[in-house]
Amino acid sequence: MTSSKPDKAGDFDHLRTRSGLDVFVLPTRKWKTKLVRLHVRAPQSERNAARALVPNLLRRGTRRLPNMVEVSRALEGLYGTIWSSSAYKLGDEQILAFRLETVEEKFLPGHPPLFGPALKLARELLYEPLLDGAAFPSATFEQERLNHRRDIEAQYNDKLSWAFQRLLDEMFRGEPYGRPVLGTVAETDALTAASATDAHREITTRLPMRAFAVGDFEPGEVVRFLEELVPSGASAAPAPSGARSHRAPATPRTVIEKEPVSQSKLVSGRMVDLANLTEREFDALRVYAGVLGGGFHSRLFQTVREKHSLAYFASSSLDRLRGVLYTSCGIDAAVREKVMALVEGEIASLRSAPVRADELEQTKNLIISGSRSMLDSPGGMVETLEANLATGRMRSLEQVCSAVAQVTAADVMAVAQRVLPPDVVYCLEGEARPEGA
Amino acid sequence: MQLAPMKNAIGETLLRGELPHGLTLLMNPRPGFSRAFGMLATHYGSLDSRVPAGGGALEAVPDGIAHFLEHKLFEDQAGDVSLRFSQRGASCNAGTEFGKTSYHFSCASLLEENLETLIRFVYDPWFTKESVAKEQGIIEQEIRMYDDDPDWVVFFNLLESLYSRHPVRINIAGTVQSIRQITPELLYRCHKSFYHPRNMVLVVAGGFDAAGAAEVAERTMAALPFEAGAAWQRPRCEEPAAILRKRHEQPFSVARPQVALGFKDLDLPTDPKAWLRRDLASRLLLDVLFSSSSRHHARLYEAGLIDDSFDASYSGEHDFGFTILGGESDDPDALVAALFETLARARAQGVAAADFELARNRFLGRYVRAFNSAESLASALVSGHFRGIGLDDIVETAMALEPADLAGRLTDHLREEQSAVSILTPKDDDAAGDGEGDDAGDDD
Repeated sequence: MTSSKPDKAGDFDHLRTRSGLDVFVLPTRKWKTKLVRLHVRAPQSERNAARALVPNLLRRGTRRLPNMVEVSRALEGLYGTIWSSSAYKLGDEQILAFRLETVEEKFLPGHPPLFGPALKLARELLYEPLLDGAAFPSATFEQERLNHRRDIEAQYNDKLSWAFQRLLDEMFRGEPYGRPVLGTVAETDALTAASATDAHREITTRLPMRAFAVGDFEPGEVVRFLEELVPSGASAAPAPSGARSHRAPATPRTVIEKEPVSQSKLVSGRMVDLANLTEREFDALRVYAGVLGGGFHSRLFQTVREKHSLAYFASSSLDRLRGVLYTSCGIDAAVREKVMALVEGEIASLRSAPVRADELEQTKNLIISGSRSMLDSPGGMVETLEANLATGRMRSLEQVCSAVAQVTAADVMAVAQRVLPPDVVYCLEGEARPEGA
Repeated sequence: MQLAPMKNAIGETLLRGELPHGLTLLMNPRPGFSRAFGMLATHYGSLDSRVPAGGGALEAVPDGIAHFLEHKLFEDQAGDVSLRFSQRGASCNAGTEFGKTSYHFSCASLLEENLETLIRFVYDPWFTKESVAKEQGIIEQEIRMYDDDPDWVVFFNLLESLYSRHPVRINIAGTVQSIRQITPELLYRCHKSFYHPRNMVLVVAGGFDAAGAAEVAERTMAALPFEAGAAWQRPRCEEPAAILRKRHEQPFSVARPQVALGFKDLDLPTDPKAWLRRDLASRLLLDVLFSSSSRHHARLYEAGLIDDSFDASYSGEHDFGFTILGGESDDPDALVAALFETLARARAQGVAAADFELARNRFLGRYVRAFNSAESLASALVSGHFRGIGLDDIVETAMALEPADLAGRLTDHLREEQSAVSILTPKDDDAAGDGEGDDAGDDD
C-alpha cells in the first residue's frame, strides 16, 4: 500500500510497492531526463563473477528481441534511451546497478512517447531473457564468459587500480571485503550456463533490491510503474544484517612487486576503529581524511608534491563503511622510502597536534561544496542516498553540510587517534632512476 | 554591457556579451542548481607549436609548453592560486587539449569572488627559474604516468604514424627532454602571444545571478591592462596526404594486445558549417557501422573479434581529422583485416535510411542529455565558440544530413591508403595474475 504522505529518506520520498520493494523518489524538473535505477545487493563472495556476468548476458536478447542488434535498435529507436549496468563494491556488499535513462519527451521534435515504452523494454530485459531450454544459450554464455574474463585481466592495464586490488588482496585475504567485485579469473572459468542462469534467478527473485527514481515524476506514479516493472513476489527478501566483519590490525607489512612501469604506485591501507562512532565523529573522520589527502590544499599533496616535488599525485581516501584509510602516490621507485616517511609523518602529525584553522576551514568548505554538487547530478543524488542507507545515517544533504560545518580541530584530533598503524604498504615498482635524473 | 540571448532548441537561457578588451562572455543561468561553474579558455593548445616572432614569422617552441604554461599559471607572487579557491570551498582545475587550454572552477557559494580570482590569475603570469625547475619535476611524473597508460600510448603512436608534419602528432605534455628546455622567458612569450582576451572566452553556467556575474567580470576586466591584440589565427598546416608509417608495434605492460586502426581525413572544409556537417556525418557513420545496434558490430562481436573494449571515434579541429577504430584483441591482424572487410561490405551495401534515422535519433537524445550538466554544457559552448559553431547549428545540421553524407564519408575518408595501425603487444615477462597473487615480492 502507498501512503498519501510519503516518508522522507534524506532528500528522497520513501515509498513501498505492494510486494514490499523499497522505492526512493526525487521528484524534480531540474534535469532533461528521467532516471530509474534498480540496485540489487549481495554479500561479496565467490559468486561475484557469476552475478557480475548476468547483466552482460541479459543485453544479448529477450524472448521478443532475440539478439543484441534487436535490443539495441529498440533502445536507439527511443532516442538513445540508456540501459546500462555496473557492479561495484559497497562495504562487504556487491551492488549490481541497473540504470534506465530516457530524455524528457517535451525536448524532442514531435514529443514522442519514450518513458512508457522504455519501462516495458527494461522489464523484458531484466525478467524475460532469451533462454535455450532452462539456461542461457551456450554460445552466448561462452562468449560473455570469455569477455568477462578479459575484463578482469584488463584491470592490469590501469596500474593504479591494479595496485589497489593487490593491496586489498594482501590486506583482506579471505575476507569478503577484499574480493575483486567482478570476481576472479578462476571463478569465471568455473562458471557454466546453468550456474549463470541460477545467478540470474538469484538476482531477480532472492536478493534484496531497491529502486530509485529521479526526474519529473509523481511519487505515486513511480510506485505504479515499478509494480509494472518488477513482478510481484520478486526481490522482497529482507536486507542482510548490517553486521560487518571486524578484524584486528596485523603487523605492518611492506609488499613490493616489480613491473615494467615508468611511474611506481605507492599505496597503503590501515584500519580505522569505528566502534561506537557518534555522528559527530563520523563527520570528523570525513574532515580528517580531507585534511590529510582530499585535494590540492591537503597535507599529502602539499608535502609530497608541492614541497618535495616527489609525485604527480598524492592523496588519501577513506571507506567510512568498513573503516579503512588508504593513501596513494605516483612516484619514482628511488624515492619510495622517502615518500612513505613523509606520508607517515603527516598521519603522525594529525595525531599529535590539532589541525590549523585555515586547513580545517578549507577542508570543511570543500566537503560542503562537494556535497552540494551532488544536488546537481541525478546519479550523484542516488549514490549519496545509497551510502546513507548503508551507514544507517539518514540525513539530507543540507543536514550533512551543517553538521560538517560544526566539526572542530579538537574533533579531528580526537578521531585521528582512531586511525591505526598501516596494515600493508604496497608498491608497484618500476625501474628506479637516480634522483634528479 | 549588452547581453543578447542565444537561440537554442531546448529553450535554455543562454546569454552572450562582450567584456572589456574583447573577451567574449557566455552565460547559462540554471535556476535550481546548487553550484556554479566558471571557465576561462584560450584558443591555444598543443597544436600551437610555434609562436609569432614578429613580421609574420613563426618560431618553434619546446613541445609541451602550452601544458607547462597551464600548470605554471596556478602560481603567482602570492603563492598557490588553487588554495584561494579551496579557501572558499571551490574546486579548480585546468586542462590542455590540442586546440584549447581551459581554466575552471566550481563553487556552491561566492561565485563573484571566485570569478574575479579566475580572471585575475589567468591574466597574471609569474615565472621564475626556481618555480619552472620545480614544475619540471612534477610534469616529469605526469609524463611518466601517461607513459604507463596503454590507451594514451597506442593513441599517440598512431598519430605519429598518420601524420608526418602536423603538430597533432606531438604529445600534449611534451617529453621529459622537451620540457627541460622550457624557460621563464619562453613562457612569458607564449602567454603574451596567446592569452589576449580577444583570443579567449569566459563561460559561467549553473546556479548564479547572471547580472551580478556579468558586472563582476566587466569590472575585473576593465581594471586589467592589455595592449591591443587580436584573436590568434592558427595557421593551417600543410600535411601531406601520404601516411608516414603504415604499422607500428611496441611491447608494453598490458594484459592483451591493444590495437588502433586510424584513418587520416583529407577533406577539411574551411567554412564552419561545412566543417560541422562533415564532422557530424563522420560521427553518425561510425554509429551506423559500429554501435551495438549494427549488424556489422554483431558479426564482429559474435566472431569474438571485438568486445566491450572496442571503440570507434572521430575527432578533429580546423585542419585535421581522424577516425580511430580499435580496442583489445588477441589477434590484432585478424581484427584489422575484419575491419577492412566490414568497411568494404558497408560500401557495397550503402547506408540504409532506417539505420541512419536510428543513429540520428540517438544523437538527438544525447544532445538533449548534454544539457543535464552545467559543466558539459560550458565545455560545449567553449568548443563551439572557437569553431564558430552555435548550439542550434548542431541540431539544424543533424536534421539536414542525409544517408548520402554518411555514404560519402565511407568512400572518401575510411580508405585503406589513408590508414595506419598502432599495436601494443604484451611484454614477454608480463603475467597478469587473477587477483589472487603470490607473495613473491614481499619485502619483510
